[in-house]
Amino acid sequence: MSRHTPHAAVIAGLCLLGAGALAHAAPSGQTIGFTCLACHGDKGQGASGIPPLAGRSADALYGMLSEFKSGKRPGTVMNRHATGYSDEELRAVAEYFASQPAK
Amino acid sequence: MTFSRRSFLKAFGAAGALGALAGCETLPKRGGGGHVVVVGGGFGGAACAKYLRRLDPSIKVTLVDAHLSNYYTCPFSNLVIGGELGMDAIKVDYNALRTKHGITLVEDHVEAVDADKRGVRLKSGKTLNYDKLVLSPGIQLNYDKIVGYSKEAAEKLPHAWKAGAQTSLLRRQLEAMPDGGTFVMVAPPNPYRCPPGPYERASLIADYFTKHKPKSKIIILDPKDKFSKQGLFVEAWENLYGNMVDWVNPERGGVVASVDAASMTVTTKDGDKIKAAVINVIPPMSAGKIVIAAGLDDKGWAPVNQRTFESVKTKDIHVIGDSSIAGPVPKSGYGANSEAKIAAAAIVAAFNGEQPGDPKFVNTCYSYVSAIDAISVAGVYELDKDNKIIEVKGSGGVSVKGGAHYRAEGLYAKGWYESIKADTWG
Repeated sequence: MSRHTPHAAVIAGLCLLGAGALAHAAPSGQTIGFTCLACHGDKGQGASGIPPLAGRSADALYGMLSEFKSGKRPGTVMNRHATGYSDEELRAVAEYFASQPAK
Repeated sequence: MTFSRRSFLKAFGAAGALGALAGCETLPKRGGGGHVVVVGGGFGGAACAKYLRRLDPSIKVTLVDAHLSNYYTCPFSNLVIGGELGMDAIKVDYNALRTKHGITLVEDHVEAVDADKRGVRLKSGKTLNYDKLVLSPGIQLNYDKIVGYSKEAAEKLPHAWKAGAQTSLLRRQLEAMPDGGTFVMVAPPNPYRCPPGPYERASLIADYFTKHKPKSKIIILDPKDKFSKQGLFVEAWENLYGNMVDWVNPERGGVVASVDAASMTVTTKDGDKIKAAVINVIPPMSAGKIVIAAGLDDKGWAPVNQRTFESVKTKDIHVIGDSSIAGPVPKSGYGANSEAKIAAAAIVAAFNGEQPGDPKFVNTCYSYVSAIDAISVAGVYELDKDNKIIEVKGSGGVSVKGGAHYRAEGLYAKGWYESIKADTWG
């Protein structure tokens, strides 16, 4: 956690504010991201033929998810998943995996 | 409430805010404490135990299951029945839950729940007290719903619908069966654990017969008019196995009246008697025994608050996985794992005096149609304005017909199994 130390007070403040303000809000990037781990590796590191998510750029992940959603990018199962989310949710989950350490 | 994280970030206007919010997700020290007892160590219970600790390490978690030293997963058990995998490939190791996640493991039967005293009585006589209880016992098989079937008869006519000794038994029977024999499956009525499971099993047995006993036949006697991924299964059976697999719907006489282990015969409601070399009886099911004993069910399944999975009947008891009523989320390992994480987050929120956020559930069920080709059904679910789980409109569905992607999906199915095992027990 040392990388956050200079901002500890800010983080604590934001977390408190975040928890209150986000009550019953849209599903968080973490909530959505947790559901991906059942296929994409328990740390988002990927698995047998399934690509990793953790530590990749949020823009790249969001771009791919958007294209799966629109059908521009062909897939086997991801088109059927990506269509289950709003653009905001896809952005949130992309940011969640971008914030996770690459394995 | 539509105040999104995006607009919040925009308002704050700093890259630092993004890091800080991401930091909320990696700083799990919520500190609310409390003791959660989780009953059932399958995809639901084990994932819930692990994610409770992941989201708030101040929570003490005790996981109870009678089979911690010999638990096998139902997913991939059809590959064992088809002869592709050994039993060791589907065995679960619980050590990481204890050593990496600090969960207390108790191998014991749960005899009763005393909700008033918030206690769970174990067969050993011990009582575990809880602040919150999570029940994830899977299913109970209702043997008595089929005339001639019983727990004893299952030693000759295996169900193999709870993986373990029953899985090996069915495999041994198929190996011992002569070429030209008939395999009969008595398929279950809705709702039941793993909707595509019976048809994946028939596929993998057909693959085995085609390679080793090509004169054999497979008859599926089904009380249902339709089944999961039906179009894809039927197409694959015709393409891969000719006319080896005969699915008999109710109209053609698929409803079974009785089974007889002594004469190895199945009698249908229409009066047909079918003699078979191997008979697989998958009986009707209900929520796990403890859920029903605790009075948490409604006609055999547990109604729950769809946001938190807390029982609508008894406070501080959450029911997840196959036992619960989760709207369109199927009774699958993936569904249970997904519900487990939502229930864990709701419990953590309750201990810390917060409101649980909106959930999102996911399911993906891969089914092998041969030893190497698989098909899938996927779904994404959320709450409607009445707090009921619905499938997100326009999402989900089954694989594209025709088989072009089946080999790739066969590979992804392995990746899924590897990942969900690690996510649940690793």
